[in-house]
Amino acid sequence: MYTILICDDEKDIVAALKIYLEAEGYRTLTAYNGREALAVVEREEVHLALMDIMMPEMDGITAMVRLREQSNLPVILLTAKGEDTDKVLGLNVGADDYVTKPFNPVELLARVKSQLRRYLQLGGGAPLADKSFCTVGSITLNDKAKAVTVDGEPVSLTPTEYEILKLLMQHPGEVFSPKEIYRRVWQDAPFGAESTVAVHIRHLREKIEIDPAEPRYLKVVWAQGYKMEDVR
Amino acid sequence: MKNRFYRTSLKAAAVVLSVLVLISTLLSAVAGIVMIKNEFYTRAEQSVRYELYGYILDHYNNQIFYEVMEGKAPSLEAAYTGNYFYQIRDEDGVEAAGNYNGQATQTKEETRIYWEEYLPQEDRYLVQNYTVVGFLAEELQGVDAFTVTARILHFLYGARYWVFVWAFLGLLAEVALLIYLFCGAGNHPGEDRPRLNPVDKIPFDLATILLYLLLGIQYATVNNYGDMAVAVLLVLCGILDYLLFLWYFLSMASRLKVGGFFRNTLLGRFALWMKKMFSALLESLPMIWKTVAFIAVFTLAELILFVSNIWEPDNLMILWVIVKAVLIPLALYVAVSLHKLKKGGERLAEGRLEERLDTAHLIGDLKQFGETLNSIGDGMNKAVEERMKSERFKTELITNVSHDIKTPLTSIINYVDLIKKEEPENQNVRQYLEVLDRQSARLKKLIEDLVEASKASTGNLPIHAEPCDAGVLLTQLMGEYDERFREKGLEPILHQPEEPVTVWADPRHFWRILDNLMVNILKYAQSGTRVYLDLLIEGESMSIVFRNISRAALNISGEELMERFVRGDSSRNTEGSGLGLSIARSLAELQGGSLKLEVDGDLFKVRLQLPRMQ
Repeated sequence: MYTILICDDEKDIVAALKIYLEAEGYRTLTAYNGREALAVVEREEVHLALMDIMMPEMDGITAMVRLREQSNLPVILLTAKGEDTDKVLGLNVGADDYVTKPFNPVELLARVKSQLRRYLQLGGGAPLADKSFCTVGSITLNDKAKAVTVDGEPVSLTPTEYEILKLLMQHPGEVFSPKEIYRRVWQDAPFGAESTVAVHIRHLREKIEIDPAEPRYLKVVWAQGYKMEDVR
Repeated sequence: MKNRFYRTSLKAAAVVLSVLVLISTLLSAVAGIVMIKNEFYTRAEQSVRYELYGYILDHYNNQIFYEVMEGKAPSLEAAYTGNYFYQIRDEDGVEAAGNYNGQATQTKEETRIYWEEYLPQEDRYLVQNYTVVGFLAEELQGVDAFTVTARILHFLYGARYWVFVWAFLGLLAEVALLIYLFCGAGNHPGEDRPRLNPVDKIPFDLATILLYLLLGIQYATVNNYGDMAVAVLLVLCGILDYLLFLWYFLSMASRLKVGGFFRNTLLGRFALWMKKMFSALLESLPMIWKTVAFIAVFTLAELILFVSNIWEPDNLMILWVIVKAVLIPLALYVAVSLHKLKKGGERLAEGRLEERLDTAHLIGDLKQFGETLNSIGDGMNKAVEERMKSERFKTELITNVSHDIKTPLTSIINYVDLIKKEEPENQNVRQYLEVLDRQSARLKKLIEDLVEASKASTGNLPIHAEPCDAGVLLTQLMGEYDERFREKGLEPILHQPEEPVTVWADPRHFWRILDNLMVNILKYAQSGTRVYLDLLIEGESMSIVFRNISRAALNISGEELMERFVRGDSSRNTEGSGLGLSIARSLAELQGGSLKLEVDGDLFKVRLQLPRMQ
């Protein structure tokens, strides 16, 4: 059983999150500001923390910076501002993921699950020097078995989707234009057929991302192409 | 330090010293010149001394002769000091009178004197030539003309080379003192900047006239005096003149240092007064009268020149050249100034308010006009700034309020979801929950769009423009919407040119515009129809035209529709926020483009225009 710390100054939100998480079989601890959250982490064994940013006494960013000095447990930020600067700041100081308020409970649960799996199961345990294995974040591609898992769960892909994913995962951080992807995957000149690529990418994102509109791994670089985020 | 150095007591001392140095220098120079003339440098001292003795002896000879002949007692002190002896001889060499008894002498001087004596008995004049021989004693004693002369001569001989050294040193000292005084002119202890003394405030031309008047009076009066007094007076006048000129030039120096030299003259004051009067006159005249006055004066001058001048071709030619030389630069100047003003006005019209018109080279009414233009610009600038400020406040307010709304909304959404999970038995409750679910989702979308719309319309968004491939973006767009279009039964048709179309835009904002337009089409297009997307190159810009058939009849023009979207009217009666088009338009404008709506029957057309990169 995993323990999750819920930290938000809004008691109703904490209570709702508690219900959701406990329904999924997690043990929960609660805190209403950053200081309390730090005290709880001192005292108990915590596997994941949900942290609001705007809180009295000590805000979420400060609490997380303090937390990072002693622990690497995953932190998901709950941000109400939803502004790019807040997100970037949060991720820079060590947050693993974020959800913007008002959030969808299903999405939040998916993210919690994903972070826990990475932290507890894959964390350093999937080195695999084998070339047929390819890992980006919590996505693993086994070329021999033609199998893909996300957060440890198998995902079924069409052969085309699989080829596109393989191309992008083998070159993380590199931007491929739709034409280039077509040329590499179909092994043919595109002649205006590159919109097919875009459709496939969209489907791919729906299969491997928690929120296809805000992808973690398979990113859309507008007016340029697509890339796989370079996270190990 | 500098100020202490120029205190008044030091300056006064320098003036006095300079007078003394000047006198001593002049004296030594005169002494030197006199000595050169008297061959001090080529003859031995003795030779000069005997020449001088000769002069004195000759003088004494004359004096003693008349005294003896007129039966007076000898008045010569020399006779008593015992250095001078004489012998008066008549024509035959017989001694008539004398005190020379063969004493030892060192030199003698013979003086011939022509003597007439009236003899009443014979009624005739007795004419006789006497010879007076003056002797100078071998050993001089006492103090008389001889000893004094010898001593002075000896002194001068000793100093005959030193006088030049002295004169030269004096000259140096004088120059140094004058430099000090000129540097100090106008400077006062404890003050950083030079200022004028009360006497320096006398107009300079008046001071000049007074100085020369004084000199004139001086020369007119001094020339009327007698001999010895003249010498003393001349020296005094010389000193006075020196002091006057010194003051005159020092005053000139302080005036030049302080500045406004011309203003502190009667002539300058008069010129300034004239200028003021003239410009006041010009200012009070309207421009039209100025022009009339100018033409009148010019025509009159021409007339006078024509009438007074003999009608010779040469003179006419010169007149023609002069007239052109005045008129052409004037016309050019007016043309250039007008052009400058026109440019300034155009800048204002274009809204480039921060660029000010340079009025430095404009005059009169043109300058006034230029300054008026500038103040219009300033006023507009201020208004724009105020507006920007208030817009920024508005955006901040909206952002903060929406942030506060999001927290309770999160609870609402979560608890609605939790109730749904409880699976209530009552059918009505389930229906109500559906409504709550839908409306809370709509509220969420509205808040997000509201913040974005307010930021986009006030320009409070960072823009990171870069070259964007519009073709690739459209391909990506088609991919993203392919499924949703199919669900709605819409068939997208994309046309784009062969060559890549590069746009200078922020790709995220560019995407957001297209995204909003597509959402709009999904919302309002009649299912079962085609949606056309055309990418067009139009000179310096590119356009993307979206065409679809509206589901509802549109009894409204494109502009009115846009207005409704911009004001947010449309959000009241449709799903979603309805702010999508407004955001899209603001984002397009922020990136130097435009977004236009056109309605033609049921055909709904959106034209997005953005600047292209060549």
